[in-house]
Amino acid sequence: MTFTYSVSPQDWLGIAPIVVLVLMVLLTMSVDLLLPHAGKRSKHSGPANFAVLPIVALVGVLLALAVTIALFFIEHPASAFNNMIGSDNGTLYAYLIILIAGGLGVLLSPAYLKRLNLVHQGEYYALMLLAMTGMLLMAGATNFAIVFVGLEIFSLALYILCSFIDQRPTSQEAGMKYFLLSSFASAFLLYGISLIYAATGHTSFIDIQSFVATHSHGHAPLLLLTGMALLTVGFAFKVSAVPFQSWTPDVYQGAPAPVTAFMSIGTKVAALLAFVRVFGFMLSSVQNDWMPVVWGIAVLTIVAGNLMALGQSNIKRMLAYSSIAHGGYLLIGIVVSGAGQRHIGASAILFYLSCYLFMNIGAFGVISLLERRDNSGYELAELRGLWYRNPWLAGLLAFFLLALAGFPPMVGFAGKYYLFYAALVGGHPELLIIGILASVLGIYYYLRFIATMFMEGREGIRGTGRGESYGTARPEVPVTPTRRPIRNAVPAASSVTAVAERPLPTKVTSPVIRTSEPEPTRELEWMSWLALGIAALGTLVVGIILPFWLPTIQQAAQQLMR
Amino acid sequence: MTNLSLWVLVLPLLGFIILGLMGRFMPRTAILTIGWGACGLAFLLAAVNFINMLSTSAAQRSNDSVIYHWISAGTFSLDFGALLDPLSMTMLLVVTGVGLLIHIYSAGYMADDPGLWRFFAYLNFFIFAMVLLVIADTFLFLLVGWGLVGLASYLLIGFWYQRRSAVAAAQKAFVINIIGDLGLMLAIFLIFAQSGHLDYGSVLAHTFSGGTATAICLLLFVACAAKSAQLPLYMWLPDAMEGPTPVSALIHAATMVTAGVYLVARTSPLFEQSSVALAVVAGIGGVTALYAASIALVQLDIKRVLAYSTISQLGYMFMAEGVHNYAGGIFHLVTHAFFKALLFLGAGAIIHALGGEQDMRKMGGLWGRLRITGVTFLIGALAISGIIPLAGFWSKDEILGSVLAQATASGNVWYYVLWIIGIVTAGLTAFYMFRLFFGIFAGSYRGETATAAEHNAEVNEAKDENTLVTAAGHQHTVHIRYSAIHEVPRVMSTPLIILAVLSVVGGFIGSLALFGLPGWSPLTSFLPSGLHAHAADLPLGLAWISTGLSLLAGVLGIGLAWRFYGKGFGYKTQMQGNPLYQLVFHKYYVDEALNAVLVTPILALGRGLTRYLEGDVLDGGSRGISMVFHGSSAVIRRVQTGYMRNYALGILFGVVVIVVYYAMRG
Repeated sequence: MTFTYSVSPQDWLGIAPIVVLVLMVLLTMSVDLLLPHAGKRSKHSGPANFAVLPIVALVGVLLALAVTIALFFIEHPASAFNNMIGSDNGTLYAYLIILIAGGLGVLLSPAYLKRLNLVHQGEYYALMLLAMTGMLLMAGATNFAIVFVGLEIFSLALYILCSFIDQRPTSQEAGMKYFLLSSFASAFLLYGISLIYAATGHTSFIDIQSFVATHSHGHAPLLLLTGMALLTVGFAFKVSAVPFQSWTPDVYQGAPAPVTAFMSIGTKVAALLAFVRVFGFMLSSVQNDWMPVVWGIAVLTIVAGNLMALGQSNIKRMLAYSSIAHGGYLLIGIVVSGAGQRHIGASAILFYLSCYLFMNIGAFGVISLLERRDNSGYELAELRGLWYRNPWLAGLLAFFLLALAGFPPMVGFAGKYYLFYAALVGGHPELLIIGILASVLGIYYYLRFIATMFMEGREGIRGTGRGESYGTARPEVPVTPTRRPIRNAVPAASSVTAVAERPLPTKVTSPVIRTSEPEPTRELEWMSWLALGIAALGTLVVGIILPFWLPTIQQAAQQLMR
Repeated sequence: MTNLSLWVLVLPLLGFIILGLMGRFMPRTAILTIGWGACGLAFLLAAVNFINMLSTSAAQRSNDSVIYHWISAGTFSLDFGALLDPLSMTMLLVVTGVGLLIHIYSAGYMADDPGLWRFFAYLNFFIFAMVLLVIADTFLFLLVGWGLVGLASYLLIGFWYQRRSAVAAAQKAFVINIIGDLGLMLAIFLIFAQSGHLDYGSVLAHTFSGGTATAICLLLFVACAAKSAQLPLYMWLPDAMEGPTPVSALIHAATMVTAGVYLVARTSPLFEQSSVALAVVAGIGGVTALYAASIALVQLDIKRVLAYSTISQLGYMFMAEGVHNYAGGIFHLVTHAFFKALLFLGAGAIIHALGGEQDMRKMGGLWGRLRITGVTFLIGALAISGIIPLAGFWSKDEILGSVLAQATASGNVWYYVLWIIGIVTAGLTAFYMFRLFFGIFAGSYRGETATAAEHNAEVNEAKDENTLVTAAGHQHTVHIRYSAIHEVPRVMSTPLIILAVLSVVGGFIGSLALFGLPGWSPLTSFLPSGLHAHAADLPLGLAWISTGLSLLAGVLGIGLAWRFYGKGFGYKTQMQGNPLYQLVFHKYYVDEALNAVLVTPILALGRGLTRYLEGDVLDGGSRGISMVFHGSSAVIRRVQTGYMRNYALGILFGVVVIVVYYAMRG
């Protein structure tokens, strides 16, 4: 059998944002080659200027954003390349979320890279853009082949990004764990895809949908069922649903904070979009088979995620569990999308993601300014009294945490409200009740961190020196005679000695680095503050403005599910 | 009729924004101008609008103007409008009026605090949130206001965030309030699911089926009980006394805690559809009134006495609403706002004059030094004890009367019990209030002669609490000599005097039917007729019996207090051996029980689950997969601590469960 398909310009138009991103990846790497290096050119040196590459990457993201927005307004096909990838409004909306998350992630990076002196910027930004590319592909995919290609592109990029801090064992460990466990998930997913291909003879969603609809009579055959089971596992892993959540806290904690900020949103968008397409649309005719499983996973994730976040004393881990819990809320949307209210479920997911985007990136963004090279600086004890040392940072973090807790005026409330509304409309009031109860539990752990920041630190009230990073709140340790000279020599780095004295906090941490840290810098922080400003603005207004476009989002979701 | 409520809403918000952004750099005068100005103008506008409302005919007194169009999706649309009717007008006047007096008072009370700007910013924010709660015309925006007053309360309880106890109290208040918000949310979802609307107009006109109405009303009442500190959700209010005293007066006595009373009155058409829910409201109200009054009998901290007294008085208000007399509940809300704010501000003046002392055992004999505070406090105490002709007499009398009326009309014995509870509580109220009054003002000053043992105990306690307190706040208790005690400044005593006058005359807005003036009931005729139309009528003779008994109980309480404490407050150490005393003194050990039953297990569950799933527990003997990596770099050795195995096991478990489930479907 021969198959011919001639590519038309319309096809390229449909994937224009992705094309732009890929071109910008190449451009970023070329610019990296041309930039003058600091000192001798070797594998341990990088461009001297920390501002050029992020700006190039940012231009790439902005261009992709511009193209995506332009596509909304011009005539464009609903799908491209013979139904391989969607380019309908729902897909474009998901692109927007991913690109904004990526843009904010890039904005948060330069100050962080500079402060931690991570020199391989060219790779960093190229990988960020590649990760975005992969996420766009997976979010837009309407064919299993593209789902898998997108998944692998962004996963591979993220493995490297997670282990980017070569001197931090936790970062290496994060990349390693993510890689290993993610490989399981990819294997399951791929196996599931092949079983479904075996059962139906197709890989395109729309073909499978019509095949299943005509052949299954509301109940799937065993081969298809097994394929569905494996798909469920694969997707659940990517949205870090319980019981496949175990990698999340370690990876989120070990990875560089800007990467965590970006991936916590991006992977969720990509995976949920594919999830909702595959289950809400493609397998909608056999929903009775998969719904109980997804329902169970959603409930388990909501409850366990919130419960486990309760005991955390490290804000990055707490946020990791909180993101698991939020993933659970989002799964409500998947359940509803199978319950006859398909577009409401999908639109609730899109709406919630656009809300979650700003508050979560904001919270991780604040952490990126607190984090030190040895992956400390954001323990509960170290946050104590942050309000006195840096009221802006503490205020912003408190603001984002309140938003995550779902407090009324902010965006978290609007998102939860619509999601729970969807649960009610979709005929799942029990999910609504579980969701609300769990969010009440959630308030407790967010508040715990907020309250701590406003408590007086043991040495908190005195202002810290300009050279220190914000998070310095550690108890004064007795200075041993051997260390005293260092201390006198470098007064600004007084925290350095303390770093070496610090006991191991949690188990993920590794032997403490004894090398002395270079003096933390605050250059380029305006970019981080810009990102935080955008996130704060988004957190404040999106929940008020977006409801105006709710019918549009619902329409977009309808297109997505077709 | 004009509707100025939007401006009443916006002004405090502006004040909050300006103070929040720039207050830090402002001189004291500017802070006070903005803080007072925002609240004062809001009150002025409310008053103007009130006069305007009086001049319109009763039928046109309700005005609902759409301000903002929020969501419109399909058949579902949602607007934010400002609803101004006699009920919200009454609340608005109380909130901004009492709020203004407390703003003025705070200037004196918080004079030395470096966080003055923050304090006024929060106060303005609270006024904004409360106004939003009162004028919202849909349940959704009621929820927003409901949440925001909780936030304001959280911020103000934890105002002295240097104290760990204040932060803990703030968190407790917030979490319990969230339980209430949860009830409200569920109620709203239920309302929406059943009626398809969220605005008051449509929902209150809708007839729900019996079971649904009961469910909605009970969920609403959960919210009310949390906000208004009723059993079993009252625990946060006594702890909330960690906040500055003006905050206790404004939020935790006069306004925010009465939001529950307001909500029941607002949704009275729903409650009228469910006799079960009303019976619950009345029952909880009565039991709470008695329960809290009994705890107040033995407390030693003057603010805590007042806090339990507030809980008890709120119980009265719910009792009235439970017997269909919503107007009576609102009436008591208004008079209670006057005299309880007065009592709290008086307590604040005493604490201020004594340099932060709150313990009754170290007071006494202050009548000679604090004359204005003493006289106004006496008026407040008389008013709350229900002594004729002060404000509390009229409103309490109306409540007891309507409970008795309901009892005679329905013949249900439980309403008689409720009525007796009301009378007994009136006696208890008079007793603990005058125990407090005599403890503070009678006898001789005990502050200088604190025994060594007591002193040591206090030092230890301070160590427990937080020894690191440095910033201002009335934390450091300095033992002040009697001769050094001075009357509070004018800025503080003026609000006391105004509130004292209101506590005397405030009752006359109620009904004077008892004294042969059946036509005189300004408040009841002002409020919508639905708020009192369903209440049973009481024959005049029975009304006199009820009045006489409650008055008698009040006088008896005062007399007993005089008998025990008239010569000065003596703390009897032998009482400590009495188990009943210990039970009541420790507030029936509710906090301890709650910690043991709820807080500890949930936290333990969370920690345990984490530990199990993260693999600490299984850490010891696991080698498995990790062996593969053995001998690689140090980095990979980190991985082989065994967690990976656990993770993989967890995943495998999940996979097996899911695959087996699907396979069984096939």
